Amino acid sequence: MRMKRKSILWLIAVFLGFMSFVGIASQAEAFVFMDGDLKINGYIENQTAIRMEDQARDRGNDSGELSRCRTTMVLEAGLDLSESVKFNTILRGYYDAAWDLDSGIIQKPKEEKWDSAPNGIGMKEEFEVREYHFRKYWGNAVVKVGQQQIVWGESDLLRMSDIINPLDISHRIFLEDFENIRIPVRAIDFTYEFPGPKRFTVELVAIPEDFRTTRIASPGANWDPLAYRLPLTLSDPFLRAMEKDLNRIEDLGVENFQGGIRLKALFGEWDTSAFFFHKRAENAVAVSDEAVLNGMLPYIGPLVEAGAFSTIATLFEQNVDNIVDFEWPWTQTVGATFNVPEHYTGSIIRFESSFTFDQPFTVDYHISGMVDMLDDLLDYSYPQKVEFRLPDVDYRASDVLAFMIGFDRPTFIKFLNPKQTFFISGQLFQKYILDADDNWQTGLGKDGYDDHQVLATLIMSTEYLDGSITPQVAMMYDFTAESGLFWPKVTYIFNDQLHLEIGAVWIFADSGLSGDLGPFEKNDEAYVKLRYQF
Amino acid sequence: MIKLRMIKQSLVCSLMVAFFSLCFQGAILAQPELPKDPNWLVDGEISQHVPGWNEGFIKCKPPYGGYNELTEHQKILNSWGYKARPIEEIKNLLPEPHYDIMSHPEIWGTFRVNETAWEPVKPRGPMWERFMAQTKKNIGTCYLDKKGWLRNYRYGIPFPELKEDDPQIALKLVWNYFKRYKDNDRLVPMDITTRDRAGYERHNLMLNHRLQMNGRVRPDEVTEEGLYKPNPKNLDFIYATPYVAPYNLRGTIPLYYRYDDPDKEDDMWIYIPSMRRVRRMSTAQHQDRLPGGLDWTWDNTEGFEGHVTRFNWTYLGRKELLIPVIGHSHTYYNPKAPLDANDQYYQRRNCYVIKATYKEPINMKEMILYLDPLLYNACYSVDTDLKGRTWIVQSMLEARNKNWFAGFYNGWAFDVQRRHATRALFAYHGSVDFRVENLAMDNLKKVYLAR
Repeated sequence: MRMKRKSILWLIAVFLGFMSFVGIASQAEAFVFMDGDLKINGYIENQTAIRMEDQARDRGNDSGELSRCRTTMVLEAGLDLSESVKFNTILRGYYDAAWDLDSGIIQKPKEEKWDSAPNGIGMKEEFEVREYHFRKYWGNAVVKVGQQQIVWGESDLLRMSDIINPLDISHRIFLEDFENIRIPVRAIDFTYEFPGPKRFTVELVAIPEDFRTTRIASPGANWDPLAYRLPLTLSDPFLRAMEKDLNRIEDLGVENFQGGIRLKALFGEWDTSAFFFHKRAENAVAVSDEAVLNGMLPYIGPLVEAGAFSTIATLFEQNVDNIVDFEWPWTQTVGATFNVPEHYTGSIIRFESSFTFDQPFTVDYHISGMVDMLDDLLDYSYPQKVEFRLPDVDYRASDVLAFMIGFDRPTFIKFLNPKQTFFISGQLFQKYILDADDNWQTGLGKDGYDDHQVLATLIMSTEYLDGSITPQVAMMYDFTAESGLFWPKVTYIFNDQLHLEIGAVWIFADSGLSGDLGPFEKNDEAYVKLRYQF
Repeated sequence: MIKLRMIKQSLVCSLMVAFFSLCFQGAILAQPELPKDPNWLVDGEISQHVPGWNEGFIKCKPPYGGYNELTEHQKILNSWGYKARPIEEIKNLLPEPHYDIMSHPEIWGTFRVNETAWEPVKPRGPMWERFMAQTKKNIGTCYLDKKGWLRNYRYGIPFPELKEDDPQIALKLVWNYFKRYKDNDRLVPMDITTRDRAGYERHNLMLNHRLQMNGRVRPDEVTEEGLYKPNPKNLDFIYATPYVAPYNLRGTIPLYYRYDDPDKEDDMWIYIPSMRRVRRMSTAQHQDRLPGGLDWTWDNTEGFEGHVTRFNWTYLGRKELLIPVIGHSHTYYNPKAPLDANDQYYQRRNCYVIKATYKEPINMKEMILYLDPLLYNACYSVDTDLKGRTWIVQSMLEARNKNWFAGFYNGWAFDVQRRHATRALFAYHGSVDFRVENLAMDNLKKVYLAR
């Protein structure tokens, strides 16, 4: 109770602190040096969120407690080295005060200094040089070299073609601008546009040695996707085991070469592109070491008979990295996109598709009785429920077809806003795993074992009070998993420097296994975001 | 002897008068210079109140080729408004909504209308002569097709000879407006400022790039008889407006295509830095207000920017007005009130008045344009809401460079119903010899350091 009061006081202090900027804000501006050749911009932002429900399976973070109180500073510098050579860098530092302010939440990420995983960055605080890259222009060609984000595709919220940079979903899943959660990679991006009305463009991307994976929140943190499946004592060794295998992959250096090509052209009104990309899967697949399993079984039998389940749990925790191995197999993805104006409805139609060859999937252990036995065993061994399905000794691969069709349309809804349109954007996603069996852990459907997904999104926004107030609502519904997301927010612009956003996120799902949203189901929150930019 | 002496004295006296008249022409013949409101900031002084003004991309500069001395220092015949004659005296020489604004300095700010004579400052020079020579050739050559679209046009005024009983006179006038005398391209670094009733302001620093694909008067290597070559997309014009500030918009680059085709909708793309990609945007809702609380719609920027085929056109007659059609090239800004261009030159002109009525009104019903009879600029325009009430009142104030090409240094659009204002401060207006490649998205990203 005392901590909650302290949190509220902190919130008020942060708010007043920001408000004190208002007086001087109108004078703030970018820092400009070297006669305009060097510009430095950026922002300071505080996001404070309160949980609206208890964490999955009551793991420890409860309703009413702080979800985050994260203050971020971003500095962005652009330097013109010459007419045709530019340098950009983005630095970011943050401090999440949630653990210091609210002792009620799980303190492990703070006490153990846990990072996002695997091989991520600090959950509580971090400073990083996120991006640094040089650009060189020659006529119709440009090359960009350095740690950067390279974005392909047409879709919002979910990605098919935007596959070059993995995401860091540790902080707030995909509810941030993607530019803030894409993990920049050291890459070379070359683009050449052929002269002519069709704007034929070829883009070559090479990532010589920098392999990164999707990052998730550390165990015990908010938005921890493993909270439903694993208790803290198990999820940590699980992720450490993953990191151990990842280190081995990362050490391969140039053997991790990833790259691809994109071709773009304008045919009449059709903006089209086709691409190919060769990369490692950014989400790991798990496999069991059968020899280790067989070696352990003789010890487990007597322990079960003796009812020494806590010993079994310890044994399991200590041997996770021996029992389970993680791999990031190679994949090849081809795809095509287009956008085109549709004149009858006044919309822009967007389309994106991808076909991934040999997408890897973890599958249940080949003896189903063994899987069930281990499931029961873990239930006995842990006071809190465990949802761990023993992986088979090898992963499986299947071709995966995915596509999205969407529309954007500015639309007058006069009774809601007489002077300004609503921007309405809808998307329908479909994904098919062409060769999946029932025991493949696809992550799709209600229990995570379906072979297809149908999902729709809808975003609506408008402006009131001459652009000072911008309400937006985003909705997502996964028809296959019967899960969804509802995310209303309102942004108020005090002036050019100070912006306030208030919003809430509700996620509903059948269980923590249901589709993309299930693992994040028990993280509903209300939040305030205050940004001072310069 | 005495007679000779008197003649000599008269001669000397005349010479002295002539000498002093030439040397101190402005001081002797013009009205004594009137005091300025201390709140009127000019050019570089504006940087005291507008962060980013007069630095980097938004540097105050003279127009292309330098100041036009004739138009910069005009002889003021009469002044009305701040510290001058009462504005009521020129009530009939202004559109009523503009008069209402100028006569309420307590709401909109102090203002002065300085009348100068047309003849000494009227357009001239080789570019103007070239333009007018082509204008003569356009008689009987340019025509409107069944859809009201201009055909067989290269440059010059398409319809210099107008008859008031011509049922198409209003449509011809709007085409004359579109093809008015201007340079081949322009770069306009600017601050678009919104101001609400309580005086809170927001600033958007951006650079307007525009490239004309026809109506090109100034010869260069891509211009053949007024047309940009090659033009395989059959474009009418291209414009792009990269944002420099504020930070959340910095690097945002809208790119807009208008086609020389009555049946082809405009195209628009926006590079959005937070998405790191180019997003195609629908141009279907032209009556929508521009984002960010601006008091312009997609159709009424610079007075009128719509597709002529979406309107019914009505000729409303002629009206003598004082219009700022040949002004000086200095930016004015009043941090205390919305009106800008506070001390400009105005000329008395017998303007054409035309009305555009939406065929399918959704947000706006009509636009009334007041056009100069020779230059066809719309220095004034008035737009009405769906109930026919005055809604947006605009003024675009035209400076002139050495070729007498039009240049903006100030403009404003006021929502008079809500007392909300948008004003445009232009740090520079002039050609930089753009080519189509310069307005390609990748090139704009290169120049404006987009992420």
